[in-house]
Amino acid sequence: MKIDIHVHTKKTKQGDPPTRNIDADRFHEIVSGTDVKIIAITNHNVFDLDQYNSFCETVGDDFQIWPGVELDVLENGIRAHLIIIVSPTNAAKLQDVMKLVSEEYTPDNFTISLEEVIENFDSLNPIYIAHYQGKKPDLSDDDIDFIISKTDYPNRVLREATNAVSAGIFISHGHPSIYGSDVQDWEKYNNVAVTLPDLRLAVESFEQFCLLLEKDQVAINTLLEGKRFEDITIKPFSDNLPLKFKIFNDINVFFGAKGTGKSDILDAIAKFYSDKGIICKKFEAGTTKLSDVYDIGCKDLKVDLKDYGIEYCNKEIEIVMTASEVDIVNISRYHDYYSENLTNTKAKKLKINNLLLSNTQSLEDDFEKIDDTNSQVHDFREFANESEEIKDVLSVENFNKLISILDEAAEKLEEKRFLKFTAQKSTTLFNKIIEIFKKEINKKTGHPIKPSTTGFREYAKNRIKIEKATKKILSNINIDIPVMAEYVGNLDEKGDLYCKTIVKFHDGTSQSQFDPLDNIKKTPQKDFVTAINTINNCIFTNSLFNEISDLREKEDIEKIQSIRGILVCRKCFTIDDEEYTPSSGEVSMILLHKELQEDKEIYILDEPERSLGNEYINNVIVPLIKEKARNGKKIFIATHDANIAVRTLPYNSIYRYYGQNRYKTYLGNPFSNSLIEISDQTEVKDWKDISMKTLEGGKEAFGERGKIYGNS
Amino acid sequence: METHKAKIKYNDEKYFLSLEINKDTYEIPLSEDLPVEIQKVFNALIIELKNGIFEFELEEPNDKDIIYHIATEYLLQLNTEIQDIYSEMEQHNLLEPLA
Repeated sequence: MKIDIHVHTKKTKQGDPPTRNIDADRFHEIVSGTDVKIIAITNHNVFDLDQYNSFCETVGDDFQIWPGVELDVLENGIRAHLIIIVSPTNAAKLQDVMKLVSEEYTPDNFTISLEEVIENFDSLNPIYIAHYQGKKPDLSDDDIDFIISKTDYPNRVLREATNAVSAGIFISHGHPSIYGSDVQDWEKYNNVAVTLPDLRLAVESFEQFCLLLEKDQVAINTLLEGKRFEDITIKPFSDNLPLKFKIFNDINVFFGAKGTGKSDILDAIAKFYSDKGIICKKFEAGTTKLSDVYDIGCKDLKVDLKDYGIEYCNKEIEIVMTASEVDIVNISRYHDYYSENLTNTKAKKLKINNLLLSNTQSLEDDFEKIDDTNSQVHDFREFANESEEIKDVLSVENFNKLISILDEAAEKLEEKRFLKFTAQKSTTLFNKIIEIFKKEINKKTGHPIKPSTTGFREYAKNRIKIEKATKKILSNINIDIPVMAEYVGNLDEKGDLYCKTIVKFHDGTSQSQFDPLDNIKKTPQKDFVTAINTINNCIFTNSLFNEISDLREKEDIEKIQSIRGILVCRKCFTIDDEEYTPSSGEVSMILLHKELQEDKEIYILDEPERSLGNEYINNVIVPLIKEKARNGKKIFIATHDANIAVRTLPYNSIYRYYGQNRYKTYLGNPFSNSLIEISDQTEVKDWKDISMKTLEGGKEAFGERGKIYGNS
Repeated sequence: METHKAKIKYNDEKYFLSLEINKDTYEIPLSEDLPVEIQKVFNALIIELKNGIFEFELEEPNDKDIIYHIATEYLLQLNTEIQDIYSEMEQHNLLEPLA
């Protein structure tokens, strides 16, 4: 069926073409020849109740005619068009309001402000359709926002596009949109009608249409594009008999008395999609522990220290754990050397014997730096030369320039690298030569070797190395890892429940509330932290290596190979930063909420109402389920709860029945108000009657559903 | 670069190379092998290096005996090594004075 929310049945303004004039019979004839089943009469600045009534009388039940008007809105000196459509039951009131606001005007000079529109028309519970963008003269986004902010029915404010493509674009930007024929010539209506929006569902009344708008923020999207469906065949029962039915990418509710196999069907659906490789799992209230879901025991907690800018310090821990004292040179060696006179004349002439060793460390460091830079320039040059992306973004000239600069840099770095290498190696060789000469002189003459060093250099280097390692370990374990707070759910007046994860380094004090993150006990963790602090305080004392030795002897200390080994962790639930243990009812609420917050394609919920109050179902769960449906997700719910089965307005209701020794399956929905047995199409039940009998509670839910049908 | 005084001292029939840094005096035993005592002096020198580079200058004694030659050679080497270590500490940002 098609809908046309914008037609003119009479020329009311001078600019209107006379071909808009039409009588009731011809109107009936033309529209009946199309698929249009809902048409809104929206003449310029006029609502003619007599004409409307005569059209309705002529048309009868062949299609619906909704009363409306296309107003000339004047806002900030700019004229635009706004369509107002009301329920047929408010047709007379619409005429009264139009007469009131247009009393002093003709259709040609009538204008009205948006404020006056709301003031006069909002009480008629209308749908507002604003000319938008390509549809001229149009209202601005600000104007439309103004209507949305002032009306009692913000979900009924739509944007009118010129065609399906534009409407699709607006919808994709989150703006509910629709378009009508804005008929110019009734004799050409047949052709125009083909392009009008299609409604997959049979919308029985203006009220039902409005209810659908309330259901979906972008209901028109749903209505225009329709819901996809697929036929699935499952074998849920032990008799292996196939069950075939339609599944919508919307809410599919299974209801029926207990023991009619609803859970088995959900299991079979889960298997059906899992076998296709789609991740889906049945959610069953009361079968899962919240502490397991949130891993309160921290069993699966993954921590990568690099995420927090913390280094693991494996090398540094190894340096400390394996450190040993470096001997210094005994004074007696100097005594030995100077006590004996060197008599060998040739040996005396060897000045090299008196030379001091040179420091090679800084030369090694210099070489490493230049070597590293050189290698990075080489790598980048190679990368740049092979990168199509760089070639794409640079002109040939600039690309060649880049390569040439890199070549030049590489050449100069290579020269410098060679010089540093030479300096480093020649100094090492020089030191070696001094040592060799001294040994040779000692061999030839028996004269003691002159010490080349006091030992201070190596002694200090060793301590500095330990100091550097210790400082690095301490600076890293002093970094705070941010506390992570994962939102768990809302517990009404109690507030929001969070799962707090605290990961920190053992600080040497009692950590009774924490557990080690890895399989290392807290005692070695404590020993390690205490010892590292002690070592740091005595690096330049003679007790340093006693402390290191004590550390090495601690039990299980070898298990700490990086500072990850001293991490402790804790997880707990909190409200307003205070620890909180949720009750079993609260756990049910939270788990269901969590299930629905996960972004999945398929949700399978088995009696989600279990342990939950009506208020929570209505205020939290139903809106969430509806949101999933709006986003085109498949939701399967087995329920005994009327709030879920009715308020969610499912596209698909599947009723399971057991009687006369056999099970039956009926398909239907609240819109058709019917349930048809899948193997016998002639067996039809009333959706409302069955729901009232089968579903528990929720009078209000049925009251709301009644609006669709005009009864309760 | 600061230059601190170094003296050869003779106490209880033993010689020491006395290093004076500001108001502190550190003594390296020259008459016997006492590595632990020398380590203490080395530790103090490293800590002192965190405040800045320095060197020692030996006060010439009246008698230029073997002890003098030992002390001269020792200080010559020590001064060179102090400079090397200072450069290394500088390079690794370890010059902040200890708390």
